Amino acid sequence: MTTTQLTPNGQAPGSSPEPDDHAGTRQSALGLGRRQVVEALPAALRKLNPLELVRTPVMLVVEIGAVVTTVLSVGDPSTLGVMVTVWLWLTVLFGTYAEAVAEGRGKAQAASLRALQAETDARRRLKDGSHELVPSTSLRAGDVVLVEAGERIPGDGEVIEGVASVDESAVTGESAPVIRESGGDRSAVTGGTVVLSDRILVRISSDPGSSFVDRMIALVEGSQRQRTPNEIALDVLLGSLTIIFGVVVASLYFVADYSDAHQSVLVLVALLVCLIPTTIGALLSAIGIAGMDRLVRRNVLAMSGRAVEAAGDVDVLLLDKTGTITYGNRRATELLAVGGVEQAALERAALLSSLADETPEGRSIVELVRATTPTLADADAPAGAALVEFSAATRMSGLDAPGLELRKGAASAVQAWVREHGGVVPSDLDAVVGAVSEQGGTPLVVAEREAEGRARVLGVIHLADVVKDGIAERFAELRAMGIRTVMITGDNAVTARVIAERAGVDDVLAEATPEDKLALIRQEQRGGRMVAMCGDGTNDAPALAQADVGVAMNTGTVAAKEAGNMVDLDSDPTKLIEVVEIGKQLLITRGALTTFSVANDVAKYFAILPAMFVPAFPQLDVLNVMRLSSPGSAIVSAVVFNALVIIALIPLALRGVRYRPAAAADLLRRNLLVYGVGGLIAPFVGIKLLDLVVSLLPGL
Amino acid sequence: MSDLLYVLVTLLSFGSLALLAGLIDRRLADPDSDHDADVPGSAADARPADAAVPATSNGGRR
Amino acid sequence: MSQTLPALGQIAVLVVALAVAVPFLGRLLAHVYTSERHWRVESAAYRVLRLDPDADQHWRVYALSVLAFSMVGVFAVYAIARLQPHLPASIGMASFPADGAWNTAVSFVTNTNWQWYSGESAAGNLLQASGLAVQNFVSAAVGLCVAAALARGLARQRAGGRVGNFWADLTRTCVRVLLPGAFVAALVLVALGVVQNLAGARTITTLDGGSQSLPGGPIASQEAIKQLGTNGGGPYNANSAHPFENPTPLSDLFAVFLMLVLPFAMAWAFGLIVRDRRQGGVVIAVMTALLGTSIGLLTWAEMAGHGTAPQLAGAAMEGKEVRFGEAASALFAAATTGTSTGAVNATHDSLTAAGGGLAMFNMMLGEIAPGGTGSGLYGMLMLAVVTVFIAGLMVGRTPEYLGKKIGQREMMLVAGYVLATPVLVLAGIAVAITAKDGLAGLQESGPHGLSEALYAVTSASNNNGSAFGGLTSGTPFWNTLLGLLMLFGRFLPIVLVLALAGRFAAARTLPAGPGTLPTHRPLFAVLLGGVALVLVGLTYVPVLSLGPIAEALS
Repeated sequence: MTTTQLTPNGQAPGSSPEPDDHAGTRQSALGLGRRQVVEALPAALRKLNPLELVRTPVMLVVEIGAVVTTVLSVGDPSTLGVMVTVWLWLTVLFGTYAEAVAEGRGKAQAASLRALQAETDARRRLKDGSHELVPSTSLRAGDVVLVEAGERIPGDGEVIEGVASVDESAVTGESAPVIRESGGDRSAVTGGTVVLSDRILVRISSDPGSSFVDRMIALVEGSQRQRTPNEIALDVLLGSLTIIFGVVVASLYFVADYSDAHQSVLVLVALLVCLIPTTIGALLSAIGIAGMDRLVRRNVLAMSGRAVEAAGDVDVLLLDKTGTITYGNRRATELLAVGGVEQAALERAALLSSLADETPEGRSIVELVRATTPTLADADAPAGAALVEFSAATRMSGLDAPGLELRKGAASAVQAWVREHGGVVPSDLDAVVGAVSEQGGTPLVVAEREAEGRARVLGVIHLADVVKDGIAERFAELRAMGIRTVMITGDNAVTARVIAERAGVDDVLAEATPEDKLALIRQEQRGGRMVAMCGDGTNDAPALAQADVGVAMNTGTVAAKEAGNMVDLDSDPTKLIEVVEIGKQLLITRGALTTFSVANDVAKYFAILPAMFVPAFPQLDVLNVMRLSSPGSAIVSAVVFNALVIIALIPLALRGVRYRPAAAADLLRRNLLVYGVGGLIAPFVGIKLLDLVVSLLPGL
Repeated sequence: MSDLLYVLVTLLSFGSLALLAGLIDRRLADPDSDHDADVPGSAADARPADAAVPATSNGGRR
Repeated sequence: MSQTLPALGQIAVLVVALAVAVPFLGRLLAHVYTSERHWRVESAAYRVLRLDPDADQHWRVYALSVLAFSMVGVFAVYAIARLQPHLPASIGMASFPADGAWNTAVSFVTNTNWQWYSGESAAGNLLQASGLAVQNFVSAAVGLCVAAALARGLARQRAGGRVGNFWADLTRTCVRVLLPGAFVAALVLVALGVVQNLAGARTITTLDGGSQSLPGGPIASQEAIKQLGTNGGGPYNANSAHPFENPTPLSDLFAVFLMLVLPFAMAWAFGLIVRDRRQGGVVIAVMTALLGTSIGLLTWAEMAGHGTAPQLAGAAMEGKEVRFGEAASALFAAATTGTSTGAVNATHDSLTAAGGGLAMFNMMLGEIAPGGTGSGLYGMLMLAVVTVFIAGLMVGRTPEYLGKKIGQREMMLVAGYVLATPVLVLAGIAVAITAKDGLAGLQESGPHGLSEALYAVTSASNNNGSAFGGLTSGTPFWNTLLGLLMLFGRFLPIVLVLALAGRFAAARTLPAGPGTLPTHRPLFAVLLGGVALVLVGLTYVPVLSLGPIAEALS
């Protein structure tokens, strides 16, 4: 068992692709791979079963039509009859094929996930504290098992005792092991992952068949896919269009008879199939499956299609400051000398005091000094230097070398240390420290004491929350889409506002407790807005459950994962933005293809109506604007176009239409132009071209 | 005679429309209505109630 | 062309008159449907009828009230028509046959005013006044009430499906809008030369010495509500082509104004009721664009006068009144089919084939440009929901209209609405041209015969009431078929609209943001018009191509 295909195309987990960069998925959609294309065929044939087609009424109508024309053509064979019959069957087949291909993409992932479920032995703890060996499949929720290094965790659960590093690459695609420990927010483990070191006690949280991996398999296979509310509503629209066209064609039979322009059932069936919205009808479920799949490819598991749709509707995004808006750790951005001290002296002291400091803040100080002052690039700690570790009591860290003591830390603590060692605190220190605080930063005061002399304050290191690159642009895009961003932070209001301004978020919730978060979500929802958030801790669970879209981090607790309706395997909070975009893309794809499908009908009328009625009413030939060669050829060309357009649009359905964040009015204008106007024109061209070929057939 | 016929046709027509109104009303009032889930907040209500409760002490109880 | 100037002139006058009257009437209507206070005369009526005008009705109760009220109306008119000779003021008219009486009763109750008989020689004064005139008021009022209920449904939230009180709406519409409106309109019509007296027929000696009976009566008052309420059923068989009903080009233009003013004003009122005037503006814009296009095309078709007879005669004047001419006839034809009026000042049978086809297409649009009183607005709003559904998806959100989510149930109701009329029309035409009794009524064969039948079923299903002519519809077959089409064409949509109104009223209203599809912009208006045209085009083009299109191209 190695890693699964959850991160295809070598895309590193956690590195989020640009929103409109579907290069990876596009390649796999268009170039599906010969294997996938072929493998979908048997499934497509199986789906021709009318009982399965009932779910897509439009395609069921086509299939019934195909059966009717088959019977008619067998009784009275003709080139027209055979061509129409063959292409009607192909129309249905293309539809089922689209669904099969979409499902097939998930099948491969499901297969490798299944391997995780291979039965293993588990050590279940008994009441008396001893352990018995049982098959992993017999474990029930609430059982406690012992897992040691090298063993596979037998089921989803929570660590209740011990710490271990766990290889979760099978589920997340992330090869670096992660730490799982009891208590706190890193206690959840997933069945099928492997303990690399130490031993842990795990309380199993799911019964067999309902584990996380089970759910993943069901999701990627699309086997438990239920139609989402919007999909059902669209089906209602498509169904009513089908009924209207059914009535149109049925009444035409009588009207044509009255007009002495008798129409064969074969031609009427062909007309019906061309008119009903087969394009969207055939691709609708593929679009839904592919939408889920796109999430899975970004390592997000949605627990329901409804959640993906809801993501497209989100009005408010709640984002945690740390890790989402700013880099997880503060970074040194500035060194400010005080009391007339030379800048170089401050830089050297800051560097030396941090060389052995392995905290991210410490490293960032080293990086800053080395980057700004090349002369110090090779500076090294003096011989015999010892690191003074940071402690909560002293609130300082530093370096003790022969003849030199360096300290850096909280302003008050360092000042106390300087005074204690006979030093004087320069008068301008307070002002500098205050200024740094006001800018939303953390001031670290640096001081030194040379060889038993007096201590002196050198200056201040400005540790700042660094807003992630490009995040402000991301928020601007979101604003254009009509989504408000709210930053959640435990910082005080002043600091929070500074960072919020720099990142360009719309609102801030400072000094936030989990209760505040929940209250904020409720308040927004009362105003009729849809809220999305992500979270990992148990504290977040109520808010995750309350939010319309709750993305739980995979590193989070069981409670958080249960409460949210999506899980991000990469535990990347920025993913929320992509989730929203995928939700929107899914809806846009549906709307665009519906528009395209209906717009197509106009051209089909111009092809088929003259073909049907010109024999009786020669004057109607002016409607034959495409100058199609013969009535038979016109009808066949329309039917063939209708079928081929499904195949042509499968890649689009799988990958989703191009989506660029923009205001609703702009999106509408653009999509209308492409899919509405394009849908009007394309079939005129397509049917004409097909006619050139089809007319070569004898007997048409 | 034909009067009775047209009276019947009228009664039947309006009766069927009234029935339709009743039928629609019953369908719309259906508690499983997807619409309820469309309303923000209630999607969360539909999830297991206990999932919304912080569960550090016995997090894996399900 | 000397005719072009008056053609444009009459439109200019019409536009100015509507621009002045519509906002005024719109404000009045909005107030009527939102005010909490009752007039004294209304309160008196409620007391007598033991109605509670303040009870906020659930949509189902509202719908049942509409149905019950209308059913009683059908029985009342039916009884009067059947028992006419035994009732006072029958002025010697005979009893209607059962099928004819039923057709007439349904026709007037559904605001269709299809008349299989000729008014002056079949309907006595009691039937005209108490049966038909009353229905001219209340059937128009019902349409406005339903539209008001839908507008209120959209404006409310979490109101538990309550959409207002039908009885209060009905009473107020009649007392505050239609009666005063018709009164003023009747005065104007009298001033413009329309006959108004209570005398019976007057016998005169004609120039060549023969004698002729000229029926008079309260024509102006009938005429006023006939147009204002988009009814269209006139006291004379010749309808608005009759010189007593419509003596001059000016009275003709005024009639067109009366037809258009309430449907447009209701759209204005809609904007006020939902507290966003721009939403009403979009509806008005789409109505105007569609109406303007059809006026333009119809005028062009008539003035260009394609076809054998018109070319021989030099103009398409067959079936038109010389005192109106082609342009005024075309304008009237567009207005009467764009609204659900159905009054005619020329025989639509004699319109050019293209003109007749356009008149038919107007009705097939579902009479949304600007439609019947109220029914035009709710027809347009239903299409707006369809438009929002498709367009809403294209902006990446689940669709919403005026803050109301359009989910599965909403779509089912709208789909039912969109389906209802086409199914009635197409099933109706299939039956009509297949049955022996149906074919027997057609004057012509071939495409023109089809047009006659198609026009009749379209007119009935859409509650227009205008007749193509040429069709002998006074047979039990046609009376029953058209009666059924009128009844279901009116009340099936109404039930669905009210259900949707209730659903909207129960739902919460979501706030609009930059991410929501704006429904007040020109782009949406274009899209709405496009959806209407494409949907209707796709539905009717096949059958139209065998009727008017085949005829026009020959």
